[in-house]
Order: sequence, then C-alpha cells, then structure tokens
Amino acid sequence: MDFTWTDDQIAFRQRVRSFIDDRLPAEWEHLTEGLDVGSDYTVAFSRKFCPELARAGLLVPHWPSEYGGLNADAWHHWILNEEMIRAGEPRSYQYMSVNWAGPALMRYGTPAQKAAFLPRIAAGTLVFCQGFSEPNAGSDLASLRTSARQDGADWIVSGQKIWTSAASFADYCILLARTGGPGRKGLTMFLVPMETPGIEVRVIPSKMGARALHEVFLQDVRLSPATILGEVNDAWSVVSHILHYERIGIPRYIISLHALDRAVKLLKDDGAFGALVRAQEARARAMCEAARLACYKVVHARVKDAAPSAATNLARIALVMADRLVAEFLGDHIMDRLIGREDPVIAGAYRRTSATGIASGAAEIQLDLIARTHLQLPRAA
Amino acid sequence: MDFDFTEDQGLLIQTLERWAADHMEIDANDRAATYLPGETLAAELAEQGYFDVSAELGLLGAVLLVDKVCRTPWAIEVAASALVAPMLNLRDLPRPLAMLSVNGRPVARFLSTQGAALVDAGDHVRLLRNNAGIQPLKNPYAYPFGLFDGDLLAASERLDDVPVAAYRRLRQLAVTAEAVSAVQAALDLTVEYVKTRVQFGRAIGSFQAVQHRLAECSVMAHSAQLLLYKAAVDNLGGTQMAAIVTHDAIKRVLYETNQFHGAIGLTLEYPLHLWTYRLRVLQFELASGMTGGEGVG
Repeated sequence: MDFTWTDDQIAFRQRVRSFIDDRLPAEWEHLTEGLDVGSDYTVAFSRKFCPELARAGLLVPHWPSEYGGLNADAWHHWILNEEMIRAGEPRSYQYMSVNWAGPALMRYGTPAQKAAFLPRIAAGTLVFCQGFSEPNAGSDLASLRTSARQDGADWIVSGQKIWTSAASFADYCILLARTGGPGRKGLTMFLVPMETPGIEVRVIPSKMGARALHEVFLQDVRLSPATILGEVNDAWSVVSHILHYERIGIPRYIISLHALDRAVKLLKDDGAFGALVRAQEARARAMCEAARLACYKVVHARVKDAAPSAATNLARIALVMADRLVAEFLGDHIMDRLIGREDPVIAGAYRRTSATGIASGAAEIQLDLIARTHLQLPRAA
Repeated sequence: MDFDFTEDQGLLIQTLERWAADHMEIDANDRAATYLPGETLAAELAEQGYFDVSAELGLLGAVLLVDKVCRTPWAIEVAASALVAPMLNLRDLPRPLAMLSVNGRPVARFLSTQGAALVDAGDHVRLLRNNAGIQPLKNPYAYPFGLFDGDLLAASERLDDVPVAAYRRLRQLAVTAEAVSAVQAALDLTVEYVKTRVQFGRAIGSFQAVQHRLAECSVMAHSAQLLLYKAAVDNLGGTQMAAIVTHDAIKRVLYETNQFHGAIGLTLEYPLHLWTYRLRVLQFELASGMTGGEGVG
C-alpha cells in the first residue's frame, strides 16, 4: 500500500493546475455565480476552454491514442477531474461527452459513428446530454416509457424525459427509448441531434444551479437507423458497461473540502472556531477524506483492470455521507454568510450537497447493491 | 497510490486469518463469561514472533495483526504490545501491556500484576510494571480490567526517551485498529444472523429496512479501515481522522447490530455481548483521545 503520488502524477497535476490558472479570469468565482457549471458565463467560457484543453492534450488524455487520447491511465483522468472540480469545473457539462458518450461510442459505435463523433468530442466541440430519466422512471430506470416505433427504415420517437442536465445547450442527447417489450430488454439507445424537429426543452428552475435540470419533450421525432448506438433492444448492455466505467461520478469531496477550508478561515477570523465547532468540522473533513480514499480505491481497481466490485457502491455512499456532514456543518455555522451571499465557493458547495444522494441514481439503489453483492443478503421473496 | 498489499503483508493476512478461524468457537461453558481470557493465545502468538511483526512489516503490519487477532472472541492484548511499544523502541516489557493516564480513572484494560502499563503523565510517559497495587476489577466490559490503587507517579518510572506526542498518536492508532476490528466482527456476526433469523416467513435480512442500515454500517466500517491503513502507511499522518470516522462507525454499528439481534443480543448466552461491551470501551477510549475537539485540518 502506498498513498503517495508518483513524480509523473504530481507533474501532471501541476500542469493541469497551471493551465487552468492561466486561463480563468480573476473574477471567475463571481462571474460563474458561485462556480455554477450551468451558468451563462461558464457555458460560454467552456466553448472556448474545452478546445484549448483538447489542443493541450488535457481533455481526453485517458482515451486511446487512436481516438485522439494519450493512453494515460485512470489516475491521470481522476487527477484531471479533481483539478477541474477544484477550479469550479470550467469544462461545464463536458462530462457526458468525454466520460460517457465517448467510451460508449468506442465500444459500441459503428465505424461511421466513431468517425462522426469521436474526433469532435476529442476536440472539445460537442456537448451531450443524457436522456434517461422520465417522470415515472427515476431510480426504476428500466420502466421508462418513451417509445420508438419503426416507420420504414426510420424510428419515430415520442415521450418525455426529465431532470436532464444541460439539455438547453447540448448538441446531442444520448436517448433511451422503448423499442421492445417491458423491462431492460426492450430498450434502445439513440444519439439524437437536439435540433431535430419535434424536440422541445424546458428549463426547470432548481436549487442546483442554472440549467442543471430540464424537461425534454419528444413528439414524433424522426430518427434514422444510423442514430442507434449498439443493437436494437440491447441498450442495457451499453448502460451497464458505461455505468461500470464511470459509476463513482465526480470527485465531490474536492468541492466539499474546498468549502470547509473557506468556512474554517471565516470562522477563525471571527474567533468563532471553538472546540465544538472544530470537532464538528473534523468529522465532516474526516468523512470527506474517507470518501476520497474510497474513490481512489475504485480508480486503483480500474487501473489494475480488476473485475467490478462493491467498492464503487461503497464509495458512492461514502460521498453521500461526507456531503451530508458538510451540509450540516455549513448549515450550523455558515448560514448567515450564505444568506448574505458572501462566499460563492461555499454557496456553490452547499447547493451541490443537496444532489449528492440523488444525482446519477438515488443512494438507496447503491445501498441495495451493497446489501446484495457485498453483504450477500437475501433478496425479498 | 496503491491499494494492494505486498506479498509479505498478504501472507501475514492469510496466516492470521487461518489462525483466527481456528479460534472463533466459544465453548458452551464459556458462553456467559463476561470475557474470554486470551493470555494463552497471546503467549502462543508471542512465541511465534508475531508481536515483533512491525520490525519487518512496519506499522501497517502491526495494524493488520491487531485487526485479525481482535476479530476472535478472546480478549488478547496485542495492540499495545505489538504496535505501540515496538514503535517507541520499548522492548521486552512484561505482558500484557496496559495504557493508563494520570488524568483519568486508574483503571485500564489488561492492567494486571503480571504485566506493565504505559502511563500518560501529561508532559511525559511513564512505565508501571508488575505492581502489587493492581487489583483485578469485575465488570461486564469484555476485557480483563485492573484497578491501580496508589500513587501512580511514585509507583512508575519515567521513560525519558519516549516523546509523549508520539506515544499518544500511537495509542490512538492502536485503539483505532482494535475498534475497526471489533466493528467488523460485530457487523459480520449480525450479517450472518439476519440471513438465518426468519420472521414473517422470511429472513429478516431480506427486508430493505435492515439491508440499508447494514449497508450503511459497512460503508462506515470500510471508510474507517481505509483511513486506518492510510494512517499506518503514512507514519501516523491522519490518525486523528481515522479515529474520528471509526468513532462514528462504532456508534452506528453498536446501535444497528443490537437492534437487528433483538432480544437474543441482550443475553449473555449469545456472543454479541462481547462485541457490544468491547465497542463501548473502545468508543470511550477513542473519544478520550480526541482531546477536546482537536481539529484535523
């Protein structure tokens, strides 16, 4: 066991950090309305920033070289994510493109799809959103109802998606629709241009920030068979593969630790960092560090090509527990400053903690998985 | 960043797990004992050189030893002897080795006339050995306890070469290792229990309310273990964080393991009481080590 970074990893982190520092404007925290990844400013900034990152080899270093990457390992990818998150995610919603659509295309895309999408994703010029959840299919994703019926060679899609992040400015949507019978086996994945006629998008105002949540209405949207990713009725293999690839999501502990650092400084300046406050902060911080290690363990397994394990689910719940303690701490001791809109970093972190146990699947699903795979508890009869 | 054990560490784990598996059974006559005396087993481990494991495998080796040995129901003093003392270059101390503080009550686990005790005297560390003023103490708390009656300062000798800060960190790591082990043991016992206990026509472990709470317990146990390993590898850096998360894990696991056992867990005929009482002692020791809300940042 070793908990230190290699010289190469340290240098890579430094390079990413300098690249970011050189490009973010001085007023970044305020311009982005508290590091809101969907703010007008961040989205516009990312359109310029992502291609620059790509040119510097810092957008998809973990991709294979044949698709424009540098064959860097999962540690480089994770370090890159940590540094981007630390800076307030100047890539905005590139996450879906780089971590989700790209790897899915590499494995399941046709040669034509690979040629059409991968160079543009690697160049940082495409934004994807994820059309999975529906009003009646959240945690129970396999019950979704948006339908795609065949019309000649084409497919006609109708239905509704919800909670879709970035839908109002994404170029494409990775859409799950029902093409067969009920359950997981009747689903097909489509890569849908967002400007296709029949698609309407409504922003849902939310406490997560601007354009974090949307409704996407699909009315007789005509799609060519070339938009299908993978096989008809076999979307679940794609979903499972990618979820395994990317299930721990983003290094949220970085955001929370950043906010804790700021909060401690403010409280110390006020002479309000007494023993009880310190103890509470220490609990939140310690759990953030535990979540960090749990994530690192998953990255380690990925680097070693280990089979999927419950480590991912354990890490997800550790992140949720950590953010809950952070939210409680900030709520107890920093609320006056949140009300006074004093510190955008703390405000942004506090806002994000609301979604930690919900985004990319309710935490309870992870608990189910831990119970079954890690503890091997019996299923309900 | 590497989460794999070395070959030697892996071998140690394997050997100790086999050893522990041979010592999990409790004789029917011993079921209601408040603790199972582990000195014979400790002597066996000492003879085989396990208490010197840190010389070759460092702090992590000692932590692994404590973890595996303390999974057994026997009250074996291993943390102070194999982890704390060797790292302070204290060799050949009598066993068992207890840990006392002049500021606390003069009672400690494993405090006995045969053994010795490290004494936190505030600004330095002292050693109390083979003292006749020590009396065994009867209580339900799953360890042999001793009470020292007398003048602790007068009865002990000053250890000039032992820095008190290092001693405290090592003590905290040692207790954390014992606690992580006990947390996992209590959890393992409970997970097995809910798989076999049938109510309403089904194993209670198939109820989601039970599953989720046990899953959360295992996240806490896993988190505590990761921080413990890191503190051991990083030469005690982050020990406080490991202690804090372990302390949280204890409280959660104490409650849930007892809830899911129901009334059988209240009896002294079923072994949960050993883990319950141990965890209560370790909860207190960890809390005492967090001197008045000391931060970690």
